[in-house]
Amino acid sequence: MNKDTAQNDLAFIKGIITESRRNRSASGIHLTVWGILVSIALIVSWFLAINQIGGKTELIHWGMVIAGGWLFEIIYGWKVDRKKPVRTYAEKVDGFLWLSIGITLTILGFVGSSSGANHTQFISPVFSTILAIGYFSSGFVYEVKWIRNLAFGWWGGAIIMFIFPGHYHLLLMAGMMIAFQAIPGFIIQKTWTD
Amino acid sequence: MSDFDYKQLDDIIHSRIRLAIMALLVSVDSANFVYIREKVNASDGNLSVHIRKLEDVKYVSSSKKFIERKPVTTFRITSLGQKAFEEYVNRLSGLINK
Repeated sequence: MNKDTAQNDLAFIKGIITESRRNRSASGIHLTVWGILVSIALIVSWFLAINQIGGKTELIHWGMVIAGGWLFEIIYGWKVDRKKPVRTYAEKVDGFLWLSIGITLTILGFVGSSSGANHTQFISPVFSTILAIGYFSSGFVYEVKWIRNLAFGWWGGAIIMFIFPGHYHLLLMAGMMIAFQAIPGFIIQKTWTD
Repeated sequence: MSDFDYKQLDDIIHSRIRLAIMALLVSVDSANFVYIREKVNASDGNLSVHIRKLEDVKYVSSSKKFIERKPVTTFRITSLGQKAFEEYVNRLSGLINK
């Protein structure tokens, strides 16, 4: 073996590693489905709030949304995710990150609110800050700036909602869910899996 | 052009196809047989033989599952494989810098 062969081997290894790491097969459908589901639920919540209908109705409709979202995750995971030919480290880290965020939001939103521990006025801004963590980290994991920058939208929205409380939160949050979650999810799905 | 002592290199990894398999698996969490075959551009038989060699020395582990009644084998690099690959790359770099 000579120096050229060794250098050639190293370049070969580097090429394979670089290409594999560039592989982005993460699916954006999870973001889109949750974004649409939650935005619809928020609009229903706003309607219930302005008509002063709350309590059990609110709890039931959120319960249905959360159960629907998790059911989708289980079915999609079984039907599509397990068929993926390759799983990158970035995908694994990102998957666990969003799973932990999902569990946190479910506990905060459903258990925290139904028990009365969380003030309903602050659910949207708290959610917003947690989602920002997810986007900021995902952006770094996948090395995609625009995904990372979505976090600033979530943080900005959270600041507005913390400073100016009111029922409008629900509509603002629904809009943010579409703009910063459902649409980016659609773009990711379209560009990374096509 | 200076010659290197090739005996310093891990024989198992020091084959173009096995090197490609190892480089591929070291950079992902897991990959199935078809994916590896396409990436390393090998035939089914050829890949099977080489991947078995890597499995025999426990550099690679495999798991089988059935998806829509078809068997799918997924491969992962083991910690021993990771260590061996790192060592191989270090040796190679060391030899170049000699």
